[in-house]
Amino acid sequence: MTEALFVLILVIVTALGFDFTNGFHDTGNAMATSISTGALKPRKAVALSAVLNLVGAFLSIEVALTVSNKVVSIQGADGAPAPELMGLPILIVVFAGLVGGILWNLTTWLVGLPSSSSHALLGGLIGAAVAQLGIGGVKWNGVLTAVIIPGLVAPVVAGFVAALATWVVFKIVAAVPENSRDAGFRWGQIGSASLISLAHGTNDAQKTMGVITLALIAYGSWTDLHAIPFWVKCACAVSIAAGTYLGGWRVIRTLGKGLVEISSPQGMTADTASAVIILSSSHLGMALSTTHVATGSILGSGVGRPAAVVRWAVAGRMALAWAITLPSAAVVGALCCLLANGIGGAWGVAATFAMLTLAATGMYLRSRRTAVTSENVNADWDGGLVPAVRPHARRTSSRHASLPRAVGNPQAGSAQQATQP
Amino acid sequence: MSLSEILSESAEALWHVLAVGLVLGVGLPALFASGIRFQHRHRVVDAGSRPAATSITSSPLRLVGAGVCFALCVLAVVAGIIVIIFGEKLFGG
Repeated sequence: MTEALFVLILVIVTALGFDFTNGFHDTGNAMATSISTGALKPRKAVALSAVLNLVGAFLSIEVALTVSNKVVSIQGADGAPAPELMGLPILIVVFAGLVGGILWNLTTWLVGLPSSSSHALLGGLIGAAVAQLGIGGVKWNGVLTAVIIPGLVAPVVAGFVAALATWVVFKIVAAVPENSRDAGFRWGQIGSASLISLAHGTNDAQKTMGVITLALIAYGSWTDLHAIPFWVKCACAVSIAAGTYLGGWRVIRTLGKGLVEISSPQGMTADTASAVIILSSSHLGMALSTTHVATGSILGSGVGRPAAVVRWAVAGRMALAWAITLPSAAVVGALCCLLANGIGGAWGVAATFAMLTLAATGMYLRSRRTAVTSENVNADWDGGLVPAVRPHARRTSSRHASLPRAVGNPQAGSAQQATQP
Repeated sequence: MSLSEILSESAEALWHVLAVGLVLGVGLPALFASGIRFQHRHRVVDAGSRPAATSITSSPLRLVGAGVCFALCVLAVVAGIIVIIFGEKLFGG
């Protein structure tokens, strides 16, 4: 096996690993509200989302070779690798960028914060490009238009739309009693959450397909700039769907329980606002991150309902995480690139890959110590990500969640008893 | 591209995203909520009788209204799926 082939294989494995983290990190974007209002049971919700991500990935008909091209100068205008970087140099940049993206995704997942997987990937690539090519390897205008401005705009626009929608919806259904109202809204929620999952499969799996195809072109085993090998499409689709099915329960819990106490109408407005903005924005000249939009919408659905609980401290932590996503992933990407190049060639890439595996295993083991699972994802939010007591609520309905937890509240008591084994 | 060009292009895109977001992002939930309101069976209180008699009615007109609202929402979902699959072809990315 040649050195370049060995590196190519590691790049593909790492890219599929990134796709997998992309899946479980973003399950919450679509399904957090449906899970927390009880529209879907947690396991069913992630299964539905996984199937739709799988289908969505196969629906993608575009070749997203130019994703990386927006921010780093490693390709020509048509997406083909720059001739002087063919072979190992571009493979190492892509590899280091992917490692930066994965480690940032895992870190934010561990602390239960939603963060944009595409920003993490772009950040990793930017860092790697700086390490490999110098400061000139980065297209700073692209960083501004593809990352920074959309990152600032997305939560504000989504939040505003969802807040207004929530306010309007509560006015319209004011006369409808809560239980017959919520049954209807749960259906609406499932519909719009499904659209978000489908769109996620199409958009996000496409990015990894683009990255793997770029690596294949750089290695020299693929030449078509307008098509993706079928096995790449299959592998990416399965990988993102498997990640989604695993369910990023930590992120789901923060989005569904931590940020806002969500009722079914709020869940429906938040999901619909997200779906509309995610589907329209890329065609209107500004591709917005699914994560930023979904989080903004959920926050907005809390702001738009006068009596709702909105935990601004949680929102503040998310905003901080978003602000440091790009630089953090960039630092890791740059360090990985330096490490790989420092040791040199296949050994360098192998060593970096080993480090990634160790770090990922460490974070996974750390997460087991304070596990958030489908069992306790809906437990009451008492200030922290990990529920303090044994979970009682597999499906806390919005009706229960929105009731004040007064002493002697018969509803709260029955909810606890109902799920005793 | 200069900074001012970037900002003006972004402002234009932002305006479009916001406009579509407001029309569909508020319009569709409002439509769905109207459907739920139409569908909900009305409690009519007959204040004339003693004790006040209540009866639950849902007029055919209201049910038609609910059906129209929900049908439009389903159409919107279908449109969404079309955008997901053919969006780049339809709008040129």
